[in-house]
Amino acid sequence: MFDALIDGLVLVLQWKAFSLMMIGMGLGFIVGLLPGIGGAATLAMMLPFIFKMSPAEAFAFLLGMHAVAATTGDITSILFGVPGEAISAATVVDGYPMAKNGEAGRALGAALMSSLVGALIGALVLALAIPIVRPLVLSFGSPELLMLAVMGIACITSLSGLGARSQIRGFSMGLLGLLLSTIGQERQSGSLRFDMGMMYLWDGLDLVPVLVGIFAIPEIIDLAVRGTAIAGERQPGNLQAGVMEGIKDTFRHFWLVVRCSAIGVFIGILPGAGGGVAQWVAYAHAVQSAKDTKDRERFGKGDIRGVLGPGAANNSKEGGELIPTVAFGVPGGGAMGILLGGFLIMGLTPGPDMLTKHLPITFSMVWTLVIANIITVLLCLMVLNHLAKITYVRGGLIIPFVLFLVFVGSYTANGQVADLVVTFIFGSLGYLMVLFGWPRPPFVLGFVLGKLVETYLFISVTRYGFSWLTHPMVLVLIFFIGLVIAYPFIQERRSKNRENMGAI
Amino acid sequence: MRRTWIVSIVVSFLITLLLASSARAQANFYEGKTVILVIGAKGAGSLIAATQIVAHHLGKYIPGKPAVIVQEMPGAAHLLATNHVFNVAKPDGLTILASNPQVAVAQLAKVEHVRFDVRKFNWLGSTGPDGVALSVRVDLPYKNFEDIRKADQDLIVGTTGPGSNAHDFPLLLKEFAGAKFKLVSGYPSNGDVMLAIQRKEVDVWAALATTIKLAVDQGAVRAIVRGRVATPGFENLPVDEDLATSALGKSIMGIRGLPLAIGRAFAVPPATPADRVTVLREAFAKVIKDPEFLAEGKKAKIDFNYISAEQALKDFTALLNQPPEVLKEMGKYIKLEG
Repeated sequence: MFDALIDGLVLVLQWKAFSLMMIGMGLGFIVGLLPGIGGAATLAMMLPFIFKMSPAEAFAFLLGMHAVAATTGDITSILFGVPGEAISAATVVDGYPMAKNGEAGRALGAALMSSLVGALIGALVLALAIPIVRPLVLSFGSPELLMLAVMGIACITSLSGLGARSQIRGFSMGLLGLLLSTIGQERQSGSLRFDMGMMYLWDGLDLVPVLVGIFAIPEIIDLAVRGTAIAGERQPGNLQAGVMEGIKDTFRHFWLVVRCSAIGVFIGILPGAGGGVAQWVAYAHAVQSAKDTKDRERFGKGDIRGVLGPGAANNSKEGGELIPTVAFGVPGGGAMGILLGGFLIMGLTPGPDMLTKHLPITFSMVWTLVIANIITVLLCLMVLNHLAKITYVRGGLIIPFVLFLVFVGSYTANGQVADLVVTFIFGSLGYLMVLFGWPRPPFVLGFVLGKLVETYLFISVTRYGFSWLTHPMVLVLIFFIGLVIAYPFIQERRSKNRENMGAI
Repeated sequence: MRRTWIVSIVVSFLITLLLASSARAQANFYEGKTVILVIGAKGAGSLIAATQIVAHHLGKYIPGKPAVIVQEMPGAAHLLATNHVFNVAKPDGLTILASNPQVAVAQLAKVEHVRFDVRKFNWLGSTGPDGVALSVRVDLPYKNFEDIRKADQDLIVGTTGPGSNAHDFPLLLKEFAGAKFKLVSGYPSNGDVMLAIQRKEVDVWAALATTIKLAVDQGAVRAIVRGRVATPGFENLPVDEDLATSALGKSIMGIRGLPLAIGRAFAVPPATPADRVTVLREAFAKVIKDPEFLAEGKKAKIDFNYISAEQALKDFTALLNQPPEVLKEMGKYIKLEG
């Protein structure tokens, strides 16, 4: 295996593959900055160029582009509150408030450095896990995947704020998300639900216009109402120092970054778990890591840990997602689906061979992710302080530009005017949620996981009756779900007890 | 006699001149332009890969050598893209539909959202038919279809949902050929069904023959039955229609299999000028014979076999010409909408 690891590196470092990777990265950088235009859309556009390339060159080109888009997606999330990609949405929750507090540089530094650490950890775990990855993936059947999705939903308790009122609001939003995820053609019988006679809704609501709308539009309205710059009336301080501070933060909370990276890899490895979930589970974990209720209240208002967790998971999951894609032909996400198309054109068949006979090519993909991330982060760090200056530009000048980005990003989801309408509707919904204090993250979690829960619940019951509830792994997961749900309440109680003790 | 000769020479000259000027006009038209191949899907799949490979070669055979790109327009099981090319796209020979012929079944069923008539498209031809095959997990004792009929308990079939080959092919074998199957539908993709096969959650899987062939080569499944279109390596398998125990079952299986026989067909909108349709048809026919094109197909494990525009149109017309009583019966088993 060590030979394959080195062979993979050699494949990427050959001048042609390396040059193509750099070209891909250049394209990915531009694309990552345009909200909504994820790596997937760009990858699809670039497929025709790979015909004359060798597999290692083609994947260096495609993955280089994809890795950069995933990393730079965090930039607009932090600067404007506009998710650069569907998967960068969790970074908005604490990243944008930091920008509003005049800490954009620090947030950007932390996001990029945690992304880099996440990518490195992801690649390392992946390289070490290759011998056991097939049995690991095969041990997760539909019932186990269902329980994992339910565990994701259980994270709502951590994303909902403290107190019964907040929890009820959080779960209501989660349920709304679940309900809206049922729009479109149902997978089991093929019947249409809530399609309102519109073909656009046959495939359900697309994640990109929903997320861009729900997060970006309220922030734009807020900016317009405030009439100031994103960072308020503050004067720009030493921005470079802020960036350095963010980098240091990554190492101050290094174990959190490591744990969130591990969450990203694990969720990425499981086929069907959905890459969009990794960031939110990592964010929830970051919230859970708060020492007490007071510490927890800082989240959502600009806590650096809320940027570090999702940042790390976002990039570590990229490596993880490669596994179901190359070893089982099940794409871990939209971009990986396009990559599978690349496999076909290259004449490679996803399957066990990719972990044995073609292992060097698989490793060349891992190396591409590592090298592309290192180069991107180093290059970005040089310009971050300039990017952070944008948050000090008057809102009136920024809003048209951000709105343009929002609508271009939404439109490219499916290339339909209806995408813009969806953005507008969810923008309005998002604004009302912010106005009346209803949390947005639980809604997203419900929306993203709804389809998975429905799919795997139906398959589990049809296939196993109710005996799936006795599967050992399912029982273990049920225990963990209970723990995830109860943890915030246990934490709150402990905190109260401590306060009472202090009062005595 | 001499006069006849002179007249024929002059006429030939004029015809040549006309053709040359027409080709020149087309060259002038296509020069510097971009031809868009619209496909109603995104991600991976043999239809998308085949379309990418066609796009890679089509431009060089059109006078004026235009650029050719693929535009993915997913939605409503290809109906969105088909509606778009039929009604919205300018009929100027610059927009081509890379069709999924299954949309003809939606037209047959008079699905509300169908805004096209496959018989009115200007078909350019097809890159070849698709075969379909049904397979059983290799560790199970069922070696042929008779074993499946005599199985002690129902075999679990993993499917991607009604309307797909993975679902409808085994469903008809269950209803009309006595296969002992229990269908578990809702897997997100064929890859997920294959994964379920590997973790022994599922026993049986049907898909395009090329996809099943890859799984057979990996030693995961054993092919048992095929559809009417024979794929290399599966020629000797029994055909579903021959296993049907009733005439009705046989005809429903036949109708269901017709779009697969048409395969990956390409078309331009109805009002496209005839000379541009001719240019595109000729270019398409040349692409399918191009050695580089065939080599890329072989690499992607896609069999390319040219089907002419006339044949595609003939097959679509035959598909739509079904007696109402057969359609009514068919609707009970095959989901014809959505």
